Amino acid sequence: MKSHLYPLLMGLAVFLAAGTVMATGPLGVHPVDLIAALAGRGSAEAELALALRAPRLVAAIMTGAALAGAGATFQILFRNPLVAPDLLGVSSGAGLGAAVALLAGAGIAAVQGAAFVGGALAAGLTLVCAALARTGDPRLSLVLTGLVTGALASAGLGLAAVLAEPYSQLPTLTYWLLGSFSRATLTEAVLACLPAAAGASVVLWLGFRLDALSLGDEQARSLGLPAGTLRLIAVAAATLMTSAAVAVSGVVGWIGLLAPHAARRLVGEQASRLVPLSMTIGAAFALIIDRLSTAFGPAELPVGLLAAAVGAPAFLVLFILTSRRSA
Amino acid sequence: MTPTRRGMMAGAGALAAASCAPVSQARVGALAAGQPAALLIWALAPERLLGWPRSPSKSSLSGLSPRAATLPQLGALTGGGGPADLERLASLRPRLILDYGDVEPEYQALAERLRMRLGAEWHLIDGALDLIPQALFQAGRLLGAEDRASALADLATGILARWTIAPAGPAFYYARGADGLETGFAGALATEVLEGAGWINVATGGRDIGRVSREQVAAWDPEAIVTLSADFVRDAASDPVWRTRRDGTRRRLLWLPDVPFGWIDRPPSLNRLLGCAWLADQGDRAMIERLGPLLYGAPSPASALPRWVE
Repeated sequence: MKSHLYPLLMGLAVFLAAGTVMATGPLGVHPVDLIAALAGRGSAEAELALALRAPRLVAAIMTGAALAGAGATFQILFRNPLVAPDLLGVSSGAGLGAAVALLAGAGIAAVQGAAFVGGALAAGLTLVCAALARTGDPRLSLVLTGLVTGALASAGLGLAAVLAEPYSQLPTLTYWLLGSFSRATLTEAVLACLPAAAGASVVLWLGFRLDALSLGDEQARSLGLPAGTLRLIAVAAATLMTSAAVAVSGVVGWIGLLAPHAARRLVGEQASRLVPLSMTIGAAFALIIDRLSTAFGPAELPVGLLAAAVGAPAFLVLFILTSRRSA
Repeated sequence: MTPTRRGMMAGAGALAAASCAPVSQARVGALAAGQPAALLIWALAPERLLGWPRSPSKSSLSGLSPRAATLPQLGALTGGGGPADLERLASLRPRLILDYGDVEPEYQALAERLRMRLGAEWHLIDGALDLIPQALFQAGRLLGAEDRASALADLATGILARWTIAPAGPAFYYARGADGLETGFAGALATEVLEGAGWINVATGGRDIGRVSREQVAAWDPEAIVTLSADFVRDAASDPVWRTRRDGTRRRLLWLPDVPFGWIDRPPSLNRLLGCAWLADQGDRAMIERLGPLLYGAPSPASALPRWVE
């Protein structure tokens, strides 16, 4: 199949998955009634279903696309297909921010804001420490300091779990950390799309510059590109996307690792094709996970757990297929 | 002879106790293995409680007698919360450790293990709601507070008898947490007080505590939402999605007090008697005003009454 058809196909997959998410749910509203509600002529129940499903849809698409886009960016930037969006400790930092807000008794909107700030602070700390380290390889510095930041934030999260009131705060914190697309209101989900879209726009603008950076700083400079500045911009943009996703949906792993792998298998390494396709696959994957999360009964399964349960074996299959093809 | 693990633990416990400096008589008392047991001891013999597994919040302290604020946080030996430092507990030389809650074999095994390590008398009391009078008698004997236990047990017996025959309440959804999407499924400890009084929990198909979607709540279409969370009340009170039923009528929102402790939940201890009393006596304040001081050593705060939110 011609590779330019893949984005179209994946776009169709997102559309179908979104349609499934919107058309199905415990309220059991008929899809025709939903379409009528979209046109403002539906029943009260259909309007209710729309009001409840739309935030999930926006949160899932934004989270999947943002995490996948950030993962693809980091993988290109670090020339390492095992890099995930949490490379700089963003997810752990965001989790710690949320945990602190929960322990302080903050409401949901404040918890999301604190998660965003926590993620950004963790990334900032990583960048500053990496700059201070001044090793010969700036990418190695980022990876190592990111590990340290992530470990510190994880330790803080553990402490928060110990300090949390066991009958009220601890379950809330646990559920938050396991991820959910149902937490945000439509306004909150749309607001979170703004930083995610800003980050995605920057990454898409970088395009061929990311490819140059993936060849190494010397190569990038020989092409007349300011390697250090561009890397910082790319890292900041990917961090913005990750923080926005974690703030709305909690910690959802594997999407940022799996989607770029799947996309790479279809369109190759070129950033201008890899990043958008990764985002499309990420969005489709997140929508499928969202649908699965409520498919097994009234209790909602955490999307972080489902992403791991589905993503890990899928990643393994992709890995085996890719290695067999290249052998 | 090969030393056994249990023998080694017992030896370690004895060593820890023996190596500690003597403590004053005022410090000799009872330890609570978890917060439910702490409330049990607090109600019967507050002067014997050595510390809280988890210190009550500032708002909770406002509903307890002043001594509550002077007690240290010691950590929990069982259940949730920060784990206790066994050496610190041993240094308090507890004569008695009480645990109050599930009596499943795993908890009994844990109790036995910790009894050996701390070298103190350990009792695990069944925390079932309908067994509160028996639990009070048992704890009263252990704490040397038989008179107080007997008075409270008599009160509890009457409340529970009226609670079980209280008029049935509405079909409800229990909204836990700030976003209201955690809930206690039918049969959970968290909703036992309401269900026992004939209220119908719409949350079925799950176990204990779980998280659900807002659409699921809408599909269940409860007549009323019950919560302990002020944050949830603030957000949901005027939210038409939470407050509107499928037939277009307004859904009721019941805000139950959680100061000093929740009336139906958090923790699952004697505090739930207040919820039972309110349901048993159809909101009559007399029993609440009598029971509150007996449980907490202080009158219930004026705001601490259930409220149907407009």
